[in-house]
Amino acid sequence: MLRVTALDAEYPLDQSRVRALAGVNLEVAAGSFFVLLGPSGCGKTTLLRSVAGLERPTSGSIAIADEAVVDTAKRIFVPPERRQIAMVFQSYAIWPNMTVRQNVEFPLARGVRPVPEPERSKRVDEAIDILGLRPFTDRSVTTLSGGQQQRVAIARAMALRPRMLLMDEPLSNLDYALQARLRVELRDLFKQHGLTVLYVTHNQTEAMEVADSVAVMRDGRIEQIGDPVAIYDRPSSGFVARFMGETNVLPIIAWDAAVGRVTTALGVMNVAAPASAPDAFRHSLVFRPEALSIDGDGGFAIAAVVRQRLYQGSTYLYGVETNGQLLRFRLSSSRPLAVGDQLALRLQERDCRVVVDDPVGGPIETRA
Amino acid sequence: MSQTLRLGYLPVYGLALVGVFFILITIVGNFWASISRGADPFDLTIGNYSRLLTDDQLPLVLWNTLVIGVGSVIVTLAFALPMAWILARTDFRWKMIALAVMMAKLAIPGFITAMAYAWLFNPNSGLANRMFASYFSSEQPLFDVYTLPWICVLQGIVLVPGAVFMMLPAFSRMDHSLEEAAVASGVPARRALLSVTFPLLLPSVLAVTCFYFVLAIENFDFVALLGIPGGVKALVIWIYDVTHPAVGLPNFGMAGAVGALLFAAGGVAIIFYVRLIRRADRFSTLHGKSRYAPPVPLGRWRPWALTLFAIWIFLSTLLPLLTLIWVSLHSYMRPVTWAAVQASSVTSYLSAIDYMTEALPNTLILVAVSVIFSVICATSISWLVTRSRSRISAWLDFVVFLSPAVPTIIAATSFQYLGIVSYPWLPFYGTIWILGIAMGTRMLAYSSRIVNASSLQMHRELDEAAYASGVAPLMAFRHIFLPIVAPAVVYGALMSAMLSAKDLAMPLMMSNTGSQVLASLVYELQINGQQSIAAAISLYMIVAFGLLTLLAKIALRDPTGASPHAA
Repeated sequence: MLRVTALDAEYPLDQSRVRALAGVNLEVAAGSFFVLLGPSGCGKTTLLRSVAGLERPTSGSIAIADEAVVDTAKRIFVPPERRQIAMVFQSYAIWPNMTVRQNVEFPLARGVRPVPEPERSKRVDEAIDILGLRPFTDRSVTTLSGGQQQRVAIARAMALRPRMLLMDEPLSNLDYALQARLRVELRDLFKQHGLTVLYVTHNQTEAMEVADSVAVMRDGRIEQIGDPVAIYDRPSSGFVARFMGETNVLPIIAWDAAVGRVTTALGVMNVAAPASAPDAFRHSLVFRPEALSIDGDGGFAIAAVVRQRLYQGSTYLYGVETNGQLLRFRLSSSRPLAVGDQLALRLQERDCRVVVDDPVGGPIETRA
Repeated sequence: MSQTLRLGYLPVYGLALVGVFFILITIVGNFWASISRGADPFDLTIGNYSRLLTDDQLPLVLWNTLVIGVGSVIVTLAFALPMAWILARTDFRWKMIALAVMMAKLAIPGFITAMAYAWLFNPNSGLANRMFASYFSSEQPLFDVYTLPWICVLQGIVLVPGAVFMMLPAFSRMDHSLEEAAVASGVPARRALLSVTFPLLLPSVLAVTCFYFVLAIENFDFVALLGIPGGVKALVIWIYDVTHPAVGLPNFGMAGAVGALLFAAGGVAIIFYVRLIRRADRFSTLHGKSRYAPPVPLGRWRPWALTLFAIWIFLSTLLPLLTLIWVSLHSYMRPVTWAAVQASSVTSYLSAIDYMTEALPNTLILVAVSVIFSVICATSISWLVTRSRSRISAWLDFVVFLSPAVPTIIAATSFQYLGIVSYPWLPFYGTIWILGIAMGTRMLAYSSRIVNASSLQMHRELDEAAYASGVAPLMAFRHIFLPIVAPAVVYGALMSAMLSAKDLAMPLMMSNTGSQVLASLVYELQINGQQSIAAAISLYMIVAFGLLTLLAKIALRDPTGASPHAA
């Protein structure tokens, strides 16, 4: 449905130029829920706005449903109103001078592709009903709550029956509980209507919950694309590992790719290393807190002392120290440990990965 | 990654450029005139400048102009500074009334205030002077209003509301916690005031000083009504004199050269003004959240605050109004006595209507042309400046922002000169239409500032949501931008209607027989000694302007009670 090829975008800042996108390649399948994830300033919003036509890329091409909407080589630039898309903004961007109904109807009535009656009213009513806005139809949108306003924005987008729905952090202005409820609701709704969605967020929980595919972005580039499970379990870099939730990152001191041995501060472990030339300074060993356990046997033995304890509801997140390294380790709240407890931990070596790690450029700090 | 140039907005660009074109005319016409020998625009000379620079009266004229500028600003600040501080930061109880009077004061044209004072204190027949002479059997008049100090004092007093309104945001926006931080860090409160508050407010105050210096040296109302009879020389009067000779043709070349001098004097102040505004903006971004600051209790200063406002209201509003009413009730200048009260009559109000048969329709045409022109162009300019991200918008904003720095009298000279030059093709010279366009050009900056303020509060994503929903730019402009800024547009229209109708300099410079408006009619009537008619028409004007101001205030209030800028 969407194909982005070698997309570059620059904008002037003071005297210099900032490169917001650096050679982005992306494909989104029809009917899928695709999430662009990354810290602020990584270029995800610029990418989304370029797809919408609200920004003009410096070079590269974008095709929506095989129609080139941007192709700098061929000097093609289709303005946003002709791209047959719809967009939902973080600020909702519903028109304050109109009622709920007028907001939904205006693009259908006055857009470049007007929808004739009675089809128009049918679509408007349908969208209003789907989003549960019937009781507010003729109310001024300024009297609605944040959650209701965002529903209006989504109804407006759905009534358009767009080829693609673009969403820019649509839930981040809402309170936490409403966010959690609405994102599941939206995902089901879009799946039900077969919509192709490109969704921008900086919230990895949100991304993992709703996405069919996730692209993690950093400094204008896509760091990794994959389904949420793959990205969480098999991050391609230290940056992705850290960004996708709590993780342990240990600098690699030495490795032997032939035998599959990696040396870190914890000792020598049997972990498959990439066959490429070893460059210890650019690689790290990563594993999730869940890879550590205090039960069972097998795996790599670690003797550690509990130094920190963070209550997180159903689990505790512990900071445990071993050999001067602080590791993250999670355990059910039903079995609390105390600070100072001595532990015999086991690390499943199959859950460990060697990844490229470039901590200098990484905007995200390890929280250990 | 710049926003694509939206061709759909071409009509908006066009209208904005028309506005800017006329703004440029206000300067270009004057300079062109200054290097022309006569009505032939291609017969160029520097003779006008050499004649100006060798003129004997030049040093005196420059000195007087400087005195008028500095003197007026000192008077304005003496009132405006404490008033702005009292209104912004203290528990003064009469804030609403004080603000209402200051708004209402805008409805009284400056030249009418000047006229009222001339009736009171002119050395020959001033009402107050004659009453003083008869009570104290004195030969000497109490005051001679036809002098430089009086011009400064009265002009300074009249400029107070604008200066207060300009300083008020800076005073009330100032982050109170900065002072608190100083006090909490162990700095005594008085030292905090001197070392934190004053330095932060200084750029705003100096900016107002520069701006009002320019207004004071270009203002025509007081020098025309008090300076011309008193023989006071100033740059503005010089321009008027050479374009309105008793015999012979108007000398636009000389007017242009004097205008260039006036423009240079104002230009220096404006350069300072722009730099100070930038610094004030930088300071204003220092604080993040504005928070309710508890008002400073006035305590034993309360009577002084009240006295300050009372003096200003009496001098600026009450005394001139009472004078107008008194003069309008008597067919000749009569001192206030019981016999005179009994002899009052309202006949002048009826005969005034006959005098207005030509000037009233002309004024309405002038106002209509000016308002339509300025509102349409200003709204387009506002859109470009605030919403388009177009590359020319910064440049456009700069031109419009600086356009008030061109003195009205220079703009008038420009339009007159170009009107004559283009007469063979566009016969608009001397008509009410060219006066309307010239006036509308003067209103552009004012109207576009008001629409800008409203537009800047409107989230950019509201336009983008329209484009992304398949709505073309012009449609979004019409159905989203215009309805949202409509209250500001209406407010701007009503206020520029009033400002267009109350200006004297432009009509006096540009009116011919057949294009006389109310302002120039009143001026002429008072020169011809028909004071009671002039007073009656003045009062009609003040009532109408008062209503316009009131309507404008109502227009800006959102009827739904909901902010149009939510979401």
